[in-house]
Amino acid sequence: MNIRSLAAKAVLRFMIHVPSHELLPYRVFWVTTVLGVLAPLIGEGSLWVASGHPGEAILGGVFSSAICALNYVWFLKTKKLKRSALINATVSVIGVSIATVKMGGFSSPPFIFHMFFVVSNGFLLGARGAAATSIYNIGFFAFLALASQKGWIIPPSPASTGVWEIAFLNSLCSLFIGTVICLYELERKRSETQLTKMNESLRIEKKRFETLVVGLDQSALLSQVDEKGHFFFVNDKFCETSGFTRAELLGADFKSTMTGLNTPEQYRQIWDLISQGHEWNGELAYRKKYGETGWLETTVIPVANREEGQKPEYLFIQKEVTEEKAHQIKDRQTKNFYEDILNSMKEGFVIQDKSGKILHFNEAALDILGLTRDELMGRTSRDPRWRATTEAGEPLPPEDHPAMITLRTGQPQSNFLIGVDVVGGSRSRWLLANSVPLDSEYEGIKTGVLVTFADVTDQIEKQKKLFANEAQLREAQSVAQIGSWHFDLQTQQIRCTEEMFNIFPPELSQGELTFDKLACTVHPDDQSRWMKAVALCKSDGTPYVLKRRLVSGDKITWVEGRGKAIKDRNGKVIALYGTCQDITERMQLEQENEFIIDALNIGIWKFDPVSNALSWDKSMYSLYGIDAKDFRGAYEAWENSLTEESKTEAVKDLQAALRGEKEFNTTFEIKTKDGGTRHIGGKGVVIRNEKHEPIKMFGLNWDRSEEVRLEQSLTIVRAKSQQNAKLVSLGEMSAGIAHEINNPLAIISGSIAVLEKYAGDPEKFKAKTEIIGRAVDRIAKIVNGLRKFSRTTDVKNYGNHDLNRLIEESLVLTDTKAKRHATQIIYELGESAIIHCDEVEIEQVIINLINNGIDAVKGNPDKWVKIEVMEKNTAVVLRVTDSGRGIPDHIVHRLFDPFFTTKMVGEGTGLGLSIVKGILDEHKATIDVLRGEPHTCFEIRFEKVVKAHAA
Amino acid sequence: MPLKIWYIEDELELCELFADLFSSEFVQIRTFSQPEEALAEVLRAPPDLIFLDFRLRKTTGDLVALQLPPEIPKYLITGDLVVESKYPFTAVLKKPIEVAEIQALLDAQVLSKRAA
Repeated sequence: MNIRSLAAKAVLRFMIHVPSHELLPYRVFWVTTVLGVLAPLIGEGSLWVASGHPGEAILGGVFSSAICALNYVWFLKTKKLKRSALINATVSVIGVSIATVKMGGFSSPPFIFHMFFVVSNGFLLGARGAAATSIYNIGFFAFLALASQKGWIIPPSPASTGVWEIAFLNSLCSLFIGTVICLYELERKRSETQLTKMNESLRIEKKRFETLVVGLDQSALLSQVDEKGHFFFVNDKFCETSGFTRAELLGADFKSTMTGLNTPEQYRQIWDLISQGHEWNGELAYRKKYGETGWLETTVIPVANREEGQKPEYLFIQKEVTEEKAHQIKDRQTKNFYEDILNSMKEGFVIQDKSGKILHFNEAALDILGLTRDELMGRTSRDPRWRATTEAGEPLPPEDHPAMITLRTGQPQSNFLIGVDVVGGSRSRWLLANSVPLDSEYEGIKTGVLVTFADVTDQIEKQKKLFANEAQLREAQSVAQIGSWHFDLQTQQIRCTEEMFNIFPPELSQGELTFDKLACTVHPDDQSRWMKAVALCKSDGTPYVLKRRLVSGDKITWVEGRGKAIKDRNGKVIALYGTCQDITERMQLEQENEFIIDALNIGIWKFDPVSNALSWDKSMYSLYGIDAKDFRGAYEAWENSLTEESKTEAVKDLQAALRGEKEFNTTFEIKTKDGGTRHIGGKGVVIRNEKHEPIKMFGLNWDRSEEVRLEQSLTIVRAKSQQNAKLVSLGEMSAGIAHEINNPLAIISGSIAVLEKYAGDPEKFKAKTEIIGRAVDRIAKIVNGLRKFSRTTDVKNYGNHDLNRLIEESLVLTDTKAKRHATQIIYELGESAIIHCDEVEIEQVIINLINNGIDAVKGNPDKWVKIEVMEKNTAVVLRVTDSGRGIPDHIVHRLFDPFFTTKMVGEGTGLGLSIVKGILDEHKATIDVLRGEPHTCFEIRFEKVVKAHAA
Repeated sequence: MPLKIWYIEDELELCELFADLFSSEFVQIRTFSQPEEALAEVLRAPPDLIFLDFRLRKTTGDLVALQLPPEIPKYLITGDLVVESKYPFTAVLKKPIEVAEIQALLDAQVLSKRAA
């Protein structure tokens, strides 16, 4: 620290930082310092000015200022302000006294100067400095007196200037001496203090070291090895622990003497490290003299200073930790063991600290929660990503988690069901959690909670499903009116579901239900049968299914009871259980059905194709006219009842149904007892096993005789209708046909009339004969068209025909009508479109549709009928469109009904379109009225004949 | 002046035959296969007598007759067995025509015209 900084510090302390109670000493110090500076300046300066030596005065002032500065330094070092000031005052008095004597009185200027100097010096130099200065002054003045006496020097006069030089020199010397002494004293004192302190420290350290060494020697294995690793010192503890004698150890190589579990490589590495001057700490396994192994906690310290050229030595400080190591290993094994157990647990396991943070967990916890280690570690119960729910599906606040409850209350929580939908996790789980507070420190956690949890999602789901199933079962039982019961034979206690009491008579709901009370409600006619079945079930476990009636007043309830036995290990029946269903409505329906079936004369049959057994209900017997006692219950019974005409077909239909080729839906004829026949309708379904083999067949038979007779009549009527329709068509055409024939006839007759006229003109004659020929062809064509309508046989004559040709031929017969009604027939001959048909019938269809079209547009200003033929995929399409505005939707579905017509009475038979439909049905062709068209359009679709077939 | 006879018939061959059979120095035959042509011509040069076929291509003879001047005698020639005519023809003749019958009718008309 330099002077400037010290001074600055002092000024700052004074000006700013000095507390009020320390202010006085500082003020005293500064007053004296100022005096010490100013007094010599003023005193000596004025003296020197007066004597005519201003330069000296200035030198003295500077000198005095330097003294003040030194004084200040000293003061800062020692801090002994009060003491210094007291001694200064004393020394100053002594100095003044001597100066008074030696310098000629108080009034002399040298005296005054010296007084100021001494006073200030006393202040400046402190006790020792002042004393030294005073001694020096006494000696100096004594020397002056002696030198004056002996004449060595001439004593100066007080008025002479030489006195002042002496006084100045005196002051300088005294200051120097005082300063040196003062500094010496200060240094000595400081050194003494330091030495004392050091000695004390050394003493303490020595004592501590001695204690340490003794303690170390007693507790630790100490050894030292030289640069080659050879022991040159071992303590007793080392010998005692290792079992080796000191003689055996000294000079031996530490690397090979006690090698145990550590490998030579490990020793080599340790040696390499310490030989480079590094310390080594660690555990070394070692082998004792007699082979026993142990563990030493070892510190190796290189003790020689290499820089000073000393040979390396190494101090081994070791501590036997075999037991601790064993514990440690055991603890680790135990920990591993428990960790293995924890990790092998199916239940999740987490430990949370007091803040709820998860710090430990097992594998199952990760697996159950579907989280990774990083995701689970550190997560708290308050983490919003848990999304926990209660059993009722309500959100579960974090503070209500079992772990948090335990942390808050210190109370364990058991079997806490919690739904966890982990955000970022892979699954939603139901967990059954238990939490207990940690009662001992675990892995550094002093306060916390241990939570175990099992994934019970499957159980919960099953439970929910079970509850749902139970609810459904209850609902189903309620709907189906089925109750269930359990009868304990030992206690005679009967337990029933609620539904049972809805089925039972109300009086059974009162009091305890007993078997006797139950028996009382059974209808007398059913009682013995029911009790017999129950008794049999009780005795040997035979299950029963029994319909019986329960009676309550006038009300009768039909029930179907089912009972089964529960047996003990010895096969003894100990309880019965079963169901009871209210079948009152079913029984009523069955009875009604029986009445209906009887009334309808429908028979029900059942056939077992495996055993060939056939069973009939009573209607079947009446239907077949066979007495039940005569029925042999076999398939042959049915087959024998068939007439020869229908047997083959009926049997074939049945066999085809059994083979699964088609449904059994047929009509056959049977012989009746009175020698007549009856037509029977038969339908049946086949029940098959997993191999698709028929195992059962059920069906109905009914009397179709009347129906068949009607069908036959209808067929005849239909044939007649068709014929009538033909006649109607012919009638319609006849007028036009007459015209068509008479016209060419007129040409023929006229031409013949003029032939004679052109007898001499061969060219004109020939022309006339050609005209006659064409007229004849016209007539022939018309007649040919009529020929088809002359067919009276029902035999169909199917063949492949070009639809275009059929249209052209039809147009010959409709042309007249079209002309008569001024209706244009639009038709363009297209490519051949072959269909398989009876040409006469299809021409009849075409003529019918064209004639209908002509009739339909009679009142229209624009009258036309358009015929188109086109091929669409596998169909040949014929469209007959007229210029009418279409057929209203509400009558479209009736168009093809027989006798439906929109024409005026007498204008149409209403059979045309129904015959068209009938013919097309027979041809497996369809006819539809196209909707959405601006005009009326009939579309007929025939199956197209491929060319190969057409050929 | 010859008797002017019109024949309205859609079959050209019959028109031609009619003209062949009945044209003479006393009878001038004019045939129309389109009734519209006859209607257009009738006011300019009305005939003495008109024969009309019943079934014409777009209309019928009775409807055409209604549009012709009523004072001209009109005969309907038809191949139909029964005709319900809307016009009171002088007579209805059947096809195939009887040449003699028509010839007699024409002769009578010629004489009648001469007498007039």
